[in-house]
Amino acid sequence: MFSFGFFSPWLLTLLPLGLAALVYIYKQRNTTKRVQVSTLLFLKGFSKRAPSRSKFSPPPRFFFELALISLLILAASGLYRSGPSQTIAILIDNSFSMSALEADTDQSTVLDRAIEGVKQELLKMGSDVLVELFTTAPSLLSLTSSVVSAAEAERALQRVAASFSAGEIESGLQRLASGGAYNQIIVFSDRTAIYPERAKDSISFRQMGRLAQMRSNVAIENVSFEPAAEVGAELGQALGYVTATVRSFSEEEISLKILVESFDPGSGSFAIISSQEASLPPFAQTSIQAAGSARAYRVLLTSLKGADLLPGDNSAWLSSEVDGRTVILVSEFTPAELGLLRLGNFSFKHIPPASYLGYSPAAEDVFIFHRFVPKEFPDSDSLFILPPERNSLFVTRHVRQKLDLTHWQENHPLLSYLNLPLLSPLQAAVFTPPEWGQELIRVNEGTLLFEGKRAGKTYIALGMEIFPYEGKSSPLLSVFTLNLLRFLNQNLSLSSGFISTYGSLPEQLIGPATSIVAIDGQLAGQKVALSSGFGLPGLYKLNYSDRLSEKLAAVNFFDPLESNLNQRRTVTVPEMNLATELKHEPISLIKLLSLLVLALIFIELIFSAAVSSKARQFFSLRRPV
Amino acid sequence: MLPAEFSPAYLRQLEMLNIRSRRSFLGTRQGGYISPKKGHGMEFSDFRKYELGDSPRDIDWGVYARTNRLYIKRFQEEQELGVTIIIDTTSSMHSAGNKNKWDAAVHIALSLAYIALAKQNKVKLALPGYLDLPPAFGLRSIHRLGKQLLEVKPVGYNLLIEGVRRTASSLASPGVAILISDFLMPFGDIEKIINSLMAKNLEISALQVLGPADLLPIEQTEAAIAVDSESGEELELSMDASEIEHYNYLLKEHIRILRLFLAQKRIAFSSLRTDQSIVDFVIRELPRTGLLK
Repeated sequence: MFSFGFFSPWLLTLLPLGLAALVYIYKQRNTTKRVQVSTLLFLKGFSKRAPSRSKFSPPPRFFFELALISLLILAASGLYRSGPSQTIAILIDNSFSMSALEADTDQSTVLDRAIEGVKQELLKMGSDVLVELFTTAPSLLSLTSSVVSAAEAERALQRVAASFSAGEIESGLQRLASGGAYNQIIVFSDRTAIYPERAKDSISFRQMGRLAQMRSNVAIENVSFEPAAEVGAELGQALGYVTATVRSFSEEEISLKILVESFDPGSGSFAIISSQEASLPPFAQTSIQAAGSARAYRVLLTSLKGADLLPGDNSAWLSSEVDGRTVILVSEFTPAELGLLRLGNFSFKHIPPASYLGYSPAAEDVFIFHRFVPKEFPDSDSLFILPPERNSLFVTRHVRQKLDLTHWQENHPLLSYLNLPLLSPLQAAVFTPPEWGQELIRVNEGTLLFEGKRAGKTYIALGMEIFPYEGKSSPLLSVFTLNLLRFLNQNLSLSSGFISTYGSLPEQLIGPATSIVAIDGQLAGQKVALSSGFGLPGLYKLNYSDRLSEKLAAVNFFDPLESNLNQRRTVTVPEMNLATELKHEPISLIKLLSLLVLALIFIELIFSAAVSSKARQFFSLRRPV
Repeated sequence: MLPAEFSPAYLRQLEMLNIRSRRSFLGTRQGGYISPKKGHGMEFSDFRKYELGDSPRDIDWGVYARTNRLYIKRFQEEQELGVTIIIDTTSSMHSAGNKNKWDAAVHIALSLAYIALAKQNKVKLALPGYLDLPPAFGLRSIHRLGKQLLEVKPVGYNLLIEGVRRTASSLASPGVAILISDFLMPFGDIEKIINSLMAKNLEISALQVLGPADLLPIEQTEAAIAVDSESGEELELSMDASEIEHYNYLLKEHIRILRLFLAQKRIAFSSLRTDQSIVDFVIRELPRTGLLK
């Protein structure tokens, strides 16, 4: 049941005043009128009647003017309609996996199906239901800004697009469920929900995508560029290697073709430098390497046999010129002694531990504390390698016995792509991880590797020696070292030569840039706002105020869980703090009343201008004779 | 100075018309009106036996040759006709709801004056109680008459009867008198005016001009104060639909009795409502009533 109210009810006192004024004006028009006549000869017989107080018979125009005044006063008083309304939050999972093609259609994606499902849901809703529409990737975003009608929410659906990120569906759900602002939450996702018993009535999970169907996909898992200095002189004139790793997420064998192309800045086009066809067994991976001397590369993947339902992960870009941050090595050893000069992509600066106190690092610097720990945590991302037993930052214990691996945090970017054998370091330190630390490797004696954030800075502590860096001679440790450095250096970017979508380039690159133009990818040819970030994979050109100065930056997205369509991610549905009562959202009727007044005025204008004598009579001040 | 409505085309139409009089009047000057006086003129009248003293130049020698008797040829003399146009200048002709009533009266008066002057007649424009203009001759004087009419200010009703009487007495010879008024006055007064003109042996025509406010002076109202534009007398009254109907009846009765009264006096009468075309009234209606030919 709806009820009506006023934002400024005191203005309603104008209604009786307006009515009284109108009646008075009309009475005046008919009462004290002085009329000059040619002669009183024929009027002498007409005498004055006593004005009838009880009978006021105004012309039709009186009622027209009364209606106008009443509507205007109602509008001025802020008439609104309110009624008990149910508020529903609809979450659309627009993470990368939702852009997968439905196996039984040509072009329709899982996200398209989800949008269609939302439309159907909105159609079923009554006028007393208010909806707020959210997307979950890259983070929870309200498309409607507030609760709106179902029709308005349907219009907002046009803005839903798949994102190159895993999204934040779980934390988003948590946030909405705890707010107590909604009576119900409906989620459209391709993920599997784990429900607590109490949440089943309040949170409804509409799973998209075919469950029983095999959903096959191949993806470029990783691309990297290794400078020639790191891999030896066998490359001749080439500056380095491009390595692309491709993985199958299919239960059947897939034939595919991998192209590595180099970018020619002069023509703005790509030229093939390597082409390889491969046949991948189910869930297997393969790599292709190509020598190149270009500033940027593109890797393309085409499935020759077998379905590939996620085309978004079939391209990757690489730039060989995006500089990282300066890595400051605080160690008794120099970078050369530790073999770090072989890592051409990083620039190292050496500070002996004794000189550390007097050093003022730049905000963007990264520290490697090698067998040394300062008294306080530095204000920079830092890697602590084999800290001394007595230090002021970590609880460390040195062990010399054989260590057995007991825990391996597979999902962490540092360790996702490695399969280290059982560790048997000569020297090792184990930690008691602090509250803010996340244990990544645990051995029988304690935590060997942990990572955590404090005051916005990332700190990694490793209890074993990884130096000197030996490159190909010690491939696993070399990859591990590179991953540690890149993790710190580019914040979650997985390989050198690119950043992940929604990642940020180092400040010294993006800061002085005057414009960014997408060279390749979905935005090819378009200018990208400096503040908008890199939400879509592709190759971007950063222009600087110096006309000749420009840099190429590659942006990629890869998430094995998003690309693996056969293994659905799970979402733990939180218990919902239901809205305690139905909302009474006032819906202003001012606009409606104003339109009504305008319409009445237009009708009067049209009718008073029309030839119709009847209309003239209606709008005349006279009563009809 | 003539009003804007007096276009060359309208003036040409007026020049085609003439003031008609049923009676014959002797004029004093030569003009365009064929007087009963025999003399030199263009219009042949009759033959008469030659008598001693007649000019031998008047003898019709052709008749003498055929009959061997002397006859003289007689012509009707063309003399001026005295046309007196009397316009009621009382306040009722200028009243608030009837602003174009006076303009219509002026338009008609100037049209008639132009017709008369174009035929070399003498035109006297009388504004009783305000001003009696000297007689005008020749078409050129129409502009002077127009200018003087534009400057007229309304006069009190009490001056009307005396003014008409004075105008009549100032006329040296009989002729045609055209009285333009709304005739919204008591019959006693109308009779006095008509009698004073008839006493001077004038051939009278009456033209009534009524404005919209004369037909519906007061809108339907519970109470209003009617103010007589001439006497200033006030009357508080109420009008409803039936009373308005009754007013219309009284007005029609007044005009019907006026028509009868004037018909008895053999006075031509014509009425114009200001929402009608004045040009049509002059060009078509007045010839039909016999005032013009």
